[in-house]
Amino acid sequence: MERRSDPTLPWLIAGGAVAAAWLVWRRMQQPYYPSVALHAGLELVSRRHRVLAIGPHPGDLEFFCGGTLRLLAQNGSAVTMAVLSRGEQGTNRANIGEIRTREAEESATILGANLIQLDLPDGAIRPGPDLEHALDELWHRVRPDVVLAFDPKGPLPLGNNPDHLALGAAVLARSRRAVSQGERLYFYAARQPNVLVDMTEVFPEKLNAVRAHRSHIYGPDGAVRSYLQCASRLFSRRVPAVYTEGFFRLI
Amino acid sequence: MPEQVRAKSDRTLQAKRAIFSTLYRAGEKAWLEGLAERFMAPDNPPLALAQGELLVRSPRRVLALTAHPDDLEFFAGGTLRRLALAGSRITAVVLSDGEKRGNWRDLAQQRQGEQREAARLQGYDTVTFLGLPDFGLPEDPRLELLVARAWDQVAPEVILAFDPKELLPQFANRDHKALGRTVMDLARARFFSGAQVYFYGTHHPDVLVDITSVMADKLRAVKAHQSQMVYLDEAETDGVFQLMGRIMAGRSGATYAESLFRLM
Repeated sequence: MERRSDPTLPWLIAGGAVAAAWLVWRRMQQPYYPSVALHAGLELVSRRHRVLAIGPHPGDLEFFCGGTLRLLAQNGSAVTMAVLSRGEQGTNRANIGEIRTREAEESATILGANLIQLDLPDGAIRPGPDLEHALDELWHRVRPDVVLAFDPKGPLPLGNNPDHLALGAAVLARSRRAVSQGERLYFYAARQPNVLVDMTEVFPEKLNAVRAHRSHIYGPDGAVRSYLQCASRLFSRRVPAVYTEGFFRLI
Repeated sequence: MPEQVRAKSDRTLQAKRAIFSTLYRAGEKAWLEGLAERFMAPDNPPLALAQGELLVRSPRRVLALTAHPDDLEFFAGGTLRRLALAGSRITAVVLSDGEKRGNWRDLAQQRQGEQREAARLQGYDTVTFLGLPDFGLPEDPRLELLVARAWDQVAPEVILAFDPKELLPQFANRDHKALGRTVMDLARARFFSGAQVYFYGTHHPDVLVDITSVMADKLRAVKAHQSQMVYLDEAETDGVFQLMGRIMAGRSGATYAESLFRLM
């Protein structure tokens, strides 16, 4: 028998295995009862709240829950986006912190939210008195009914940004007090969401808000759009919605 | 003691005895227990434990729905005990009397009495028996109406019911499945009522309730259902529930836990 010059079969098998693992993993991450999760999302955005959305860096909020913030603002909630750091470690451009803050302001205008920019050190946000103090001040200024924060476990099994995890852990540590005051905590970027918000109708605004962060977008325009589309379809496999954002609701 | 019909031996009982004790002996093996822990672990155990604490810490109006007289104590006994200790008003609604089992007669009266005794031990406020047919809930037209009426009367803040997908959806008890599906349908229609709906007996937990402090109370309440203690002896029963508690606690930090799924 003649030896094949290029061994394609092993590569096909390996590729198939990776694709199958990806599909199984995605299936495992879907909400347990998706239709009920969609109802919960509808309930979240169709009431008026004082919303405090906390993001570790400029751009995180827009990417993970921009559509929900836009829907809340459209439906009459007072939405405040609090960004803990200026993201000054993102690139080594001069005055990158100011540039990113300006971009965050622009995207907050697109979403219809207020922006509170804090000055914690990018890349060094850790649970501790500084973060506690910053969160205390935020709670004092906004007095929120609904709080959106990063999931303490992060969206991926490995390689999560420690700033994100620190924010999640700090908010989780405050949960007891917060819930006793009648606040509702939602974690965005959750792996197994129990709340799905249908944000199909505000997808263009979310896209614009993400695009406003020009200093951190590399690559052509269409790529940004299709990346965001793929990311927003992750949880809409089993619900009658095209683009969704997933949240984990804590009580 | 109910009178047993002598016509033929109770094959079901023997089979169940064999299955349960085999399962228990297998579950005691450390590697299998570890495997079960992995399978039953919530996505984020500390978060799940925090949710459970928030659930049982403050007094609430609770509606606990169940299909048969012993299920509530089996699957959520510790949670309900902790709620009762926190001062909650708990209304237990038992849909059927669990009157069917093999060749045994007159189980309904006995099991109602056992459920009342368990309720007294656990500190429930009210126990209501709806008297629907055992093993016939899915076909019963009154099911949805009666559950909805109980929901309206109690106006609960917390509802506990069976997960329709139980441990393995293919092997779910049809009564449990019917109850879970009914509660889910009602919950969709009443989303804005502000009630929290939790499913017990789930294979996809996202809430863990630490029941270490009330484990003895749970065992006592479970053993109040004397007619159900025929499958295992007393020591084995204790062992089974401690094993279940350990498996559900997993690596969350609690010694014994009960797992719930929060529907809304």
